[in-house]
Amino acid sequence: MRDFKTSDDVLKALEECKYICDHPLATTIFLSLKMDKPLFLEGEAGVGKTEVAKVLAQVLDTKLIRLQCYEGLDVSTSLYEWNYPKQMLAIKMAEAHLEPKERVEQEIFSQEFLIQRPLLEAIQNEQGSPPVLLIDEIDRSDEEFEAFLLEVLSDFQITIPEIGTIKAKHKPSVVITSNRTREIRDALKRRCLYHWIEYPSFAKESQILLTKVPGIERDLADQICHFMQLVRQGDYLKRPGIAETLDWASALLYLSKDSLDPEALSDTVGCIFKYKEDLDRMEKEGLDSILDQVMKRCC
Amino acid sequence: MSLAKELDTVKSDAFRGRRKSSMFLNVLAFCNLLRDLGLSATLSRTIDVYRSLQFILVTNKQDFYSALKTNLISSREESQTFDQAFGLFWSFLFDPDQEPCGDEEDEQLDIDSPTKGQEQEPSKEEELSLEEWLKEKPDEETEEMEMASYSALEVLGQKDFSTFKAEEIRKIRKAIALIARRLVTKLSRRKVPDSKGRKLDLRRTMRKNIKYGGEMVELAKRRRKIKKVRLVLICDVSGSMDCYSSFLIEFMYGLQNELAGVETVVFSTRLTRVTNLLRGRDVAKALKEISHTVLDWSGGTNIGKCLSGFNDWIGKDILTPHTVVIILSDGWDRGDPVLLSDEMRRLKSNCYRLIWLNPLLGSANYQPLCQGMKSALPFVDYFLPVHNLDSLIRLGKVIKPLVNR
Repeated sequence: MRDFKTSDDVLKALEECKYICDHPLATTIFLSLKMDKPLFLEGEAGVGKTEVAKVLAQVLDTKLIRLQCYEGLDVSTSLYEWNYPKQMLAIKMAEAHLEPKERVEQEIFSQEFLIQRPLLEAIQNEQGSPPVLLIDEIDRSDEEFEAFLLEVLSDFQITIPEIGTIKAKHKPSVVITSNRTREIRDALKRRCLYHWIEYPSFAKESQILLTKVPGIERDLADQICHFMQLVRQGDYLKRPGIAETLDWASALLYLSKDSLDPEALSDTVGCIFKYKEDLDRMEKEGLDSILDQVMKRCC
Repeated sequence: MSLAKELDTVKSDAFRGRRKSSMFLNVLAFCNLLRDLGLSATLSRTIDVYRSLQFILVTNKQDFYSALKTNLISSREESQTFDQAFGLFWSFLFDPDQEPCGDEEDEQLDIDSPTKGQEQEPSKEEELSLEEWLKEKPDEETEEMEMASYSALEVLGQKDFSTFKAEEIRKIRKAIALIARRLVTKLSRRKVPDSKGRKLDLRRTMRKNIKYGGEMVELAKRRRKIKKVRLVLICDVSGSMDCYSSFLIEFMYGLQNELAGVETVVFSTRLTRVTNLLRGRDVAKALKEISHTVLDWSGGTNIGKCLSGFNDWIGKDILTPHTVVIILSDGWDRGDPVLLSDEMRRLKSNCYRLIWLNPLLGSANYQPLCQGMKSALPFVDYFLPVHNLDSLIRLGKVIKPLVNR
């Protein structure tokens, strides 16, 4: 596993993997690695929360285990489940061979019949360096799951009645993300290092574009970023994030545009806004006037 | 947000007396200061702050700032409080000409929000204003939510919403948000699993059938635990109803932020679904926007037509036999009473309980005589007033057992 001496090392390593972040975030990641504390990331949709975990796995050269949260997520889909059909088959076969009861019992409740779900997989991982565990969009899960997660994250151990307690040899690096559709309990947040990811500044966004979209010209990148900065100041339902910026930039490249014009904008506006209300509002404000402002800023 | 308001509870001596000569004690004092400001700087967090300091260069202010911040805050809102407190506390220590690191960082990041930068800059001016404020009595608009809201509850509980002055409205808003949060905190409890599900629960099936020697005789079933939309608010925002609706929407907003499955729809001439508009945003601003787009007309209301629109377009997707629907309107309907009663019937058959809130019910001599109210009433399960804070609390008590079955 790579060892970082300072937060600047983290910043550089992330940059090598094409993730541009600011200093506070790099410090937070650095501390989370050093202190073995989970990282709790919040921010608007599309500012690159999930990406942090992906890049972190890449930087640490380890496996990424992802747990996508949703309403109704429970222990059997997040932790472990017995492979019942396989167990039943084993019992039937054992019956045919007249095997002793004790051996059958021992056999069907062994690792072989256990289906690992993400949390168990992260804890039980024995080969190689500890994995990165991404718990994505935790705000979608129910409160009960949150409470359960609290338990797992504090000890990194899981008790399976039939087998016993499994404890993580090396604690995985945990990244939790939330879109804030509901507030997460303080108890969970307190066990984590918190960071709110803001929309990027113009300079940072332009740097991201130039790194992530190969073949983009500086002029077009600047125009796109000015446009995005402008639009984010507006009062839209869903302000576009970096994900939208990248999508839009590649869309413009596919259309072989090297500069923003009204036609290109109206053709590709679907990359930027995903709500009808937002499209209407954009129309009302006038595409031309927004473009004018963008061009003025560029000069 | 002015500093004076934020640092409300911290007294002059306490603040100055907190600063110690050693780094160790100063960090501790800073954590205590944050605790007084309402952040949850618990002991375990404070210990973690110290733990994190051994990994960074304490002399690098950027790192120092980030390390403290990431350990001590747990929401974006707290981030602002932290920045202000950080600037103030540590700027006394560091060379006064030097800017505290937090601001350097923020200026780098927030090229596009100059106002924010200004706000966070603990300039001489602000230090001065701190002095002034320390001599003054606490500001009227204290940020102390709980205290403000309790007194608000006592004084304003009985008062009709329509007679509120501007500053009272601010207080009552906070109280409403608090009530909503309390209500839902009590709501969240573990549910009993349902056995009438469609999926087979293999674990329980096997256990159940041990008595038959392992042959599958009884099947145990399970249902995925999904919370569907449980609460729908249909709100009249036309003309005179405006002031009442905004309070109820505030109430719903509080619920929505804590509870999955709350939908809000407003209508005057046409229906607008505002759930997304309310999600995680500034309510006051969202409300202004809603009234901007919807309040284009102030005659009578055609409730029947709007309900028909709801049943056709939105209701289909979101109503389940478990949904509680709340309608807020004074019932002055200019449309066809037959249509209204038809649509009420449709709505009633598609939901679990139907609650009608009428602010006019608050006045002692009100009788539901107008045609619209008369034709809707037979389908209504609960007919309640919603003119003051007490009636909102009462509404909370009615909703609670309904959504928590």
